[in-house]
Amino acid sequence: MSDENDVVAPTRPQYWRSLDAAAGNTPASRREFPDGADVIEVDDVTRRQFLGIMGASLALAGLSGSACSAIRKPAQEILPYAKRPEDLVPGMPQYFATTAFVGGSVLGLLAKSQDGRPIKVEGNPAHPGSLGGTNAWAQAEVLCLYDPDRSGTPFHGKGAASWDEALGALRGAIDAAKTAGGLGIVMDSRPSPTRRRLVDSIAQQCPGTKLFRTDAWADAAAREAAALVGHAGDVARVDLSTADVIVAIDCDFLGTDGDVVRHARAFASRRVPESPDGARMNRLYVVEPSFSTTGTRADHRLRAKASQGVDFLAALAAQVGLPADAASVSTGRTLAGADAFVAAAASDLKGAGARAVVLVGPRQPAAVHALAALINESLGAVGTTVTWLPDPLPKAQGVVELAAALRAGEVKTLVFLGVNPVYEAAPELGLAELVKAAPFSAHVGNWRDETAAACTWHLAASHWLETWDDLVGSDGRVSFTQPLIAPIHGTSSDNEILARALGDNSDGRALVMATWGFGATGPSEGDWRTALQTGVTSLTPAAVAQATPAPTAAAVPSEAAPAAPAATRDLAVLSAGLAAAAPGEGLELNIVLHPCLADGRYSNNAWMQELPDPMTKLTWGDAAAMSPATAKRLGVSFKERDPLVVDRVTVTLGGRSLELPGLISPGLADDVVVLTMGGGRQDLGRVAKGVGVNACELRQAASPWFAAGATVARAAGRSRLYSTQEHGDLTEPSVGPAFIHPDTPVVRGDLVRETTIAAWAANPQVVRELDVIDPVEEKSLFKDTSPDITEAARGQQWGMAIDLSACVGCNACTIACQAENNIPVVGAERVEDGREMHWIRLDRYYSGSEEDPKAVHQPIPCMQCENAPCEQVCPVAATTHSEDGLNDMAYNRCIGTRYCANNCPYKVRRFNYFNFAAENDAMFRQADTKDDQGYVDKAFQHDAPATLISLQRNPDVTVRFRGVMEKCTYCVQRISRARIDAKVHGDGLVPDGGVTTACQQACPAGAIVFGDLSDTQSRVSRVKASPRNYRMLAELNTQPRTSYLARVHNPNETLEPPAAAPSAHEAAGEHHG
Amino acid sequence: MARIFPRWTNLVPLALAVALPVGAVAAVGGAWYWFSPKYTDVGYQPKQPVAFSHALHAGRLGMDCRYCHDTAERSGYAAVPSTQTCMNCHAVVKKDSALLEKVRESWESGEALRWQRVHMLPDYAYFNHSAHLAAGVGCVSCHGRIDQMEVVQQKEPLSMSWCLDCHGDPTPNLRPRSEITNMTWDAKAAGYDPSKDATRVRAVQPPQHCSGCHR
Repeated sequence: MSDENDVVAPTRPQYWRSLDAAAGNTPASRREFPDGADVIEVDDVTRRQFLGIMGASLALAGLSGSACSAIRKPAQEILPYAKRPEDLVPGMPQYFATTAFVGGSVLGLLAKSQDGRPIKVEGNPAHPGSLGGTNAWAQAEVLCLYDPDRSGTPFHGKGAASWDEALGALRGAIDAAKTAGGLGIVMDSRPSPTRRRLVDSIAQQCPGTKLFRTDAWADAAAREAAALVGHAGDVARVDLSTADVIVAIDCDFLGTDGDVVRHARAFASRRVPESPDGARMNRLYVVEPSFSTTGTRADHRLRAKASQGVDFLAALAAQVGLPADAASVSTGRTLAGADAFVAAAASDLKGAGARAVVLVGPRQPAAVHALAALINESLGAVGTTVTWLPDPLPKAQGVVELAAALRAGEVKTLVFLGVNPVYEAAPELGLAELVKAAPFSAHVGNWRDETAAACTWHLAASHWLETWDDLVGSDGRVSFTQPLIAPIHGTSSDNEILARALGDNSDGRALVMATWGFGATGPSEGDWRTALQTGVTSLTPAAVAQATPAPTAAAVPSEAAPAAPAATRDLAVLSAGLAAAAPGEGLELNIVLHPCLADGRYSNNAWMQELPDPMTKLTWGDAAAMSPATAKRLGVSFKERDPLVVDRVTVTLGGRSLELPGLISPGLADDVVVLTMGGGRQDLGRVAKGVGVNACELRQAASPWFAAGATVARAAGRSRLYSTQEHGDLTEPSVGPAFIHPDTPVVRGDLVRETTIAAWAANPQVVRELDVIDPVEEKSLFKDTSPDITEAARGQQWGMAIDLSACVGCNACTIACQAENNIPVVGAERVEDGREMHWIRLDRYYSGSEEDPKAVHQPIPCMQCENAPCEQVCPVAATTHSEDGLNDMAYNRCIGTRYCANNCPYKVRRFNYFNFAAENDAMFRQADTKDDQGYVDKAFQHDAPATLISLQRNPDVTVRFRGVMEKCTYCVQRISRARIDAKVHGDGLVPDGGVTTACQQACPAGAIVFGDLSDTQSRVSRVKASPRNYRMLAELNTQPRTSYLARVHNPNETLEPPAAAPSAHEAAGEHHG
Repeated sequence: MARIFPRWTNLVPLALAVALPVGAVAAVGGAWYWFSPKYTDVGYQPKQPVAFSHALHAGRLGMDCRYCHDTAERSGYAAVPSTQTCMNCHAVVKKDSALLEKVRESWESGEALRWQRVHMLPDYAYFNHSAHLAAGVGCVSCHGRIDQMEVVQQKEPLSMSWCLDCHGDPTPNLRPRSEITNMTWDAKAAGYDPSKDATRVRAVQPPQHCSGCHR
């Protein structure tokens, strides 16, 4: 390592993945196949004995009975439909356009149905909210649909009840409220005009009805801010495709906050320098307390406490200027030590003018949102990057007002619609007790969660893949949700339940059609069918008013009616808010949405529990993250040589404390401790049970997302984190030349490559110069092993390019792959052993200082090497090369030697140590009895859910058995389908774009391109022709088909002067010497 | 010194020298045949819930295979027909036949008829009917003379080596797409040469790599 350090030019950052590695220690990473990895006790029988027994029983089976009866495959039945539905062709998937509210965003989706089972969702390219992309949450929704722990029946208290009883009770309570009043409806932020119509109708009939909205994406601060700056009743829609300069304050707009899919596509379109849009590359400034994936994409990133966002913004406002009528707004404070950053950001903002935008995250208070809105207005951004649109949601209050109304007895009848405030709200509000004390409370939702437990009634709601609905997208246009499957548990949607409460027995479809007057006062039936087919409409919520008579103003309770737009700004309130938002002293506690579990709605989703957090790489559990300096000050550390065994800490705030593992996480702001939501679910389901802690127990009602005055103290003992941080380390000396000869110095071209737009413009070869050997030196040791891809007669040659300049590190590819390819979940203990099965992983490299590093993500699927090291060591030819350039894996031929995984320099092969796919395998039920030994296998504590979970499986992909090696196949089932389609209907050649891999299709940023390399005009060939294109570990002569495009930054020269050091080429040259 | 072994034991080495090779050859040869699908699978003829006669329908009545197996050209599966397909005719023809009792039950209840699968491939082999029909492989090549079977039985081993025989050299099994369901068409008699068939837009190139069939 030290040799390399001497010759590294400043333009070549040194990359590291963990603090231990950065400190120069050989990562404590265990060997790829740790000792004892293949031993598990099955009823006190070891695997070796087990195999012996198995061998003996097979021999006996062969002896007994005739050969025919022993060897003949078991009889199978074929059950054709009695009446086959029209258009259903067995074996052919059907796609339906639908719309979902996922992660605070309305996504138009194409759901894939195989024989009536929805098994996968893709983005609908025609929908402005998804643009063909999705995120990890949307991909994980199909598993939620088949979750055996999802609620299926109504409950009264702790006992199951019938639908008649539950609906009767709800209707009775609403009827009573029509005279007595005191109704409170607590909703999530799903912008459904039908639900709003029904809620309005209830509110109209029940005097004094109060509406509340308490979910994590309620954006109450932004809505309040809109009123302060003269846009009451509006929400701001941001379009990043027109933004040249973006300043994001505590806003993870590419990760967890709102319209991430749309923003990722727009952002990435401005980061690819070859494209016309990307040539005018945008510049991103990020100010944040935690290190989000948005922070990794920042050209300049400032670590600041969340509470310092207001001071940063005030300093920015002072330099950018505010609209004339609001010029007096000021805090009088600035952010110390950030002058250069503020000046650079301000000058860029002013330079870009209307083509700039300041974004503020939903965790920030209203005054900060308002100040940002004023800056955007002063820049002239309204109309280009920012558009004000009517708010599709009814005016509602927050959880604090809910608690107050319950305490004051103003609300006696409570209906919760898809929200879980008892879990999320600050404990000081005592919401659980207040709800329990309410005379009537009903919870409508997918889960029997904490709020359901506090309510007298729980009504199981259908999953959105089972319901009809309408959703208003961020562009103000509505699109429809249509069911892919009849409710599995016979449940109803919340729209239907509300209608029943009003005495209306229409089904969900009729309710939605009635909202818009389809076939009656509104559009025609034909329009309805077109809307369902395309998944988009041009209808806006204004059309609802025409279709259904609006409630008269007098009859509507004030809370439910949108307030009249304020003509003027409320600058006094704004100034008071800014003054109140002063940064606090001492340690600041931050609660953020979990990048995988979100607000806890995916806590019982095993895919999401095992999906590594993009930054910390944690799975199955959470930790209190803090910067290295803060950890040092607090005395929090980890076990020598084993950085995943960490000190436990007690985090205390406002008299409450929480004990959890402490994690030292580079890039966090100092004096900040970050906790993620979604843990500590005790009764939600079998997957979530006992994983992590509930960060919301430390919530403060006044400032729910961050608060000063926290203390962190070391608690007794240490605990292990389940992290994939050190897995698949490509920098191990055992890989590469040193493997060939131990004395060969390890010299390697950079795995991830970054450059700046200026350096790239000056020298387009700057990326290729990092290659250790020139391309001409790439000679094969083996003759004729690599297919000659120019030889057209050999047919199509598949290849992939991944643009690191577009990748936002969101994990969507990993989950899309998991859903498409039947990839099992292995559980926490197996992750510790390095046995996670993801076929595409997201490597995260830090560079720079431990305190303030940069980070870059790199998705790693199988490279499909033309000269594949794995193929050369397989003793049974289970992995061989196909004529179209794929590195095939024949599962049924694999005998599990694992030589191939050992020999893979990219570490992309995954081995089924156990029969992971059979969840209720008896082996895993042993886990329950071994709890006291710390032997817990959370993913496999299901009793008999196999039939339900297995409905999600993709029938086009083999479900692998124990002892089989597997890996990314470039979605060979999709290639085969496209190839067969081309053979049946065409000339046998798949047109460009005819095959999209699951990762490519899910990628919201469009970072992955796949196609035919033998066609020089295909998109992937054109992308690979870029001088940014490089092949990882090309010096090993593996000839990988997957290549990467270097990430390009666009730094401001005043903050980051261009390097005047020796060029990268000279540096690389010294390597040879 | 007393003899431990009787005199006849002198013949044991000779007997072994003869018996072991013969036994080994017999064991290997036996397993080669009796453990292979040629023996275990060919001739498999399970009893079906309804005594449907292909010999009558496809043979004497001359119905096209695709009237019932209508998805064969569109999908990987040549779907077993729905009860509705049976009733298209049998609502009128032989509508009171005792043999059709179960068909009428299925039609009325909506419950599927439980047919026994005859041609069974392992789950990891992804056979696709539409690709083979598009290439011009006739039904008879894999299924035999269905038109002569009262009860369907398996005629070919459907083993991997049997598949690869054709994937290596498909020409003998190709025919014009118009003759796909013709059970009596003979390539030799017709003098058919696929390379000279003007209706073919591409040469048939069956995959021979693993992922062609295994995914």
